Amino acid sequence: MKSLLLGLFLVFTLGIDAWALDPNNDPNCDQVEGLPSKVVPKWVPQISWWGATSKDVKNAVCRGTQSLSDSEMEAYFNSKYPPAQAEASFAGIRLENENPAFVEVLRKLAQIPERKPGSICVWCRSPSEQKYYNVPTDCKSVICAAKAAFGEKEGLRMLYLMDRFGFNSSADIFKDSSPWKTKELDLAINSMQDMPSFMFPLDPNQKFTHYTRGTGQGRGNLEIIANASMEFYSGFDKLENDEVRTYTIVHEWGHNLGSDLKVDTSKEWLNLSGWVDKGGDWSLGKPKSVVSNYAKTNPSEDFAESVATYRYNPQLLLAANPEKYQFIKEVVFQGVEYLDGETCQEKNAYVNKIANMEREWPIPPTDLTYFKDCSSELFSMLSATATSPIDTCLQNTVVKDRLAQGMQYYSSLQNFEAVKKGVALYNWNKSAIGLKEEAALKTKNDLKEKFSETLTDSFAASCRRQMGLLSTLKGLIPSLDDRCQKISAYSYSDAKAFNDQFQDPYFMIRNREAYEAFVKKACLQMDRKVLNKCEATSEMKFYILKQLP
Amino acid sequence: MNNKFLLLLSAMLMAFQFNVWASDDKVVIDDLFQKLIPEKLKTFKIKTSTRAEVQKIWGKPDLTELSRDYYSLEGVKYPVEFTFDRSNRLSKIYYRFVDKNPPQFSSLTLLIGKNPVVDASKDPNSQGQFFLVKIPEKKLVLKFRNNKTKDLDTMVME
Repeated sequence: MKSLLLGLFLVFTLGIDAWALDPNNDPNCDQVEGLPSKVVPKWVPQISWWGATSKDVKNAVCRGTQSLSDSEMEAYFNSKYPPAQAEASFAGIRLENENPAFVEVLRKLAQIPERKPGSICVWCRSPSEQKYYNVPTDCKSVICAAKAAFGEKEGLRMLYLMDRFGFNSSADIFKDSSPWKTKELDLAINSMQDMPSFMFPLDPNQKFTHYTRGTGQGRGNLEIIANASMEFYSGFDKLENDEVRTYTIVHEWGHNLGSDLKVDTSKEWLNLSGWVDKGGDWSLGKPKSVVSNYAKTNPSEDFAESVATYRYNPQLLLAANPEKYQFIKEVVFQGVEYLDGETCQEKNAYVNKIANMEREWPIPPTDLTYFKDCSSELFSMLSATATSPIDTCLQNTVVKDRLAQGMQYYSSLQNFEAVKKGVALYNWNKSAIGLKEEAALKTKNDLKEKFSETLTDSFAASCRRQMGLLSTLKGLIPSLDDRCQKISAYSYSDAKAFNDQFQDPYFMIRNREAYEAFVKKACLQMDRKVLNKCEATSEMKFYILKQLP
Repeated sequence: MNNKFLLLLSAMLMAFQFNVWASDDKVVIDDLFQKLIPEKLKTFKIKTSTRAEVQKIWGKPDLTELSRDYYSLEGVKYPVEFTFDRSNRLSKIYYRFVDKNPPQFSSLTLLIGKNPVVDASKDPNSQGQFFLVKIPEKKLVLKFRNNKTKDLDTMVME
């Protein structure tokens, strides 16, 4: 039996080696439709618990050989965030002459977000647990403060993970977590650098924590290593080597990709392996189409395993299920492959090819529905204190749309619709296909105009409702402040047009507070004549528009 | 007389408005709950609705296993499951959202509450891929995708 297993192992390894040496001439390989330049090995894949061994990970193509040094990371920050005039003070940290965007990177690591409806961070510590760092008063730059707060080496790496990948590794922010060690942070950075850069950040504030050290998490006899919420347990520390840990991080990242791309339980993905849902218990219709035993657990694990295997052992995925390989290639990796040193270049990603297309992009339409993804940014204009990130959002929307247009060139892809989703989701290189500066300004101004029209209409409706009610009481509430208080209270229900424009039925419920405060502010500025008429005139619009930055 | 009438009227109007406002949050929460429940599930009541009533709306099940009826949705097998007790009364509904735009966590925070009971590790199949939020007063468990503003994946009513 042992010799049989050994024999099978040899056949298996030789099969991979032969294919890897010269796939095009290998008689064991077939051409596959949809994979013109690729070949599928005929050997029957032997699967184990994971989709790749530590040897596979070590030998995978296009991996960096060394960790980034401290000076390389500092150089990255210095070039990305030139000094500016921002000042900030939080969590015992005081910053001066810093770049505001860089300040926000540190803030995410050091300041527990407030709990408010609409933005609950379910994993965060309670604000009462806010830590105050003992940062020296002469330490006024972000880098210096991060080093003082989190450790000389760790602070720099935590900043890098946050900025480059959107991973928040701060144990001071998230519940049930312990600080990462320098080596572990380096490993996380290296693992994520194995993935194409366009994937980051998926979420600009993604939890990435080590569960409280010394407390394990288990299920029966199994010890949990990590989970898709990017929590890593003591089981992770006990893994045999860094290659297996790297594979684990990429596997968990695969869950996030599957979830954000909305594909790991999509009809297309389920059909590839014949997955059937029975009240949350999944049955696998085609057991030979998965890359590991762990992938047999459910479609999401199958997806995460396929992503990690695609990266570190692509031949196995190709042999197990060429259609799945194609799906991951198109939808997740957007055309980038890891079969050799050439296919893994990011220039092969569809979007980078689109960016290089020479074409005149049309100016985008200026209606709120088109910019529905910027609804919260538009609404942040209502509060004058907020620095409005509207420009970035408009830019992103236009870029996504243009990418979608550019994607028409790739309409022959097998999973075109899902690929488009990925294009829209990933934060692509915007410079080549973005809005030109003057067009961006015009778009913003036109949009502000449209936005103020809806504001004016809803203000007039609210005014009519309340003033109609009050007309019987004329003289009883003479003060302007009281009138405006009445008009603003529950005025959000008159602004439901925004729900339709932003295609979000709960939009006004969530933004009620900001909207009512804005209405009161604008109301107090209004001429009494305008207020008495309660009509959506250009005069009323003037007062509304004046309140917008 | 006229002044008295006006004062009375004003008092009535104020009272009326106050009542509307005071119940506003509850209305919003009930409204959210109603919008969350898919149209074809709205009329069912656990422990009350019968198998025949369910089948009247959902039609013949795509798969039946003893006390359970399964249905396909949008070509996906079988994101909807009804469980019945011995007397064929509905005891549990499992519904997985397979449509393109399921409700998101951020749009349901009023319903869920400010400090939701979150259980990220109890789902035996997923190792925390999802997180569960329990709403005991509605006898509802919501399962969200892994991150903070993510889609609602599944709801279980029992």
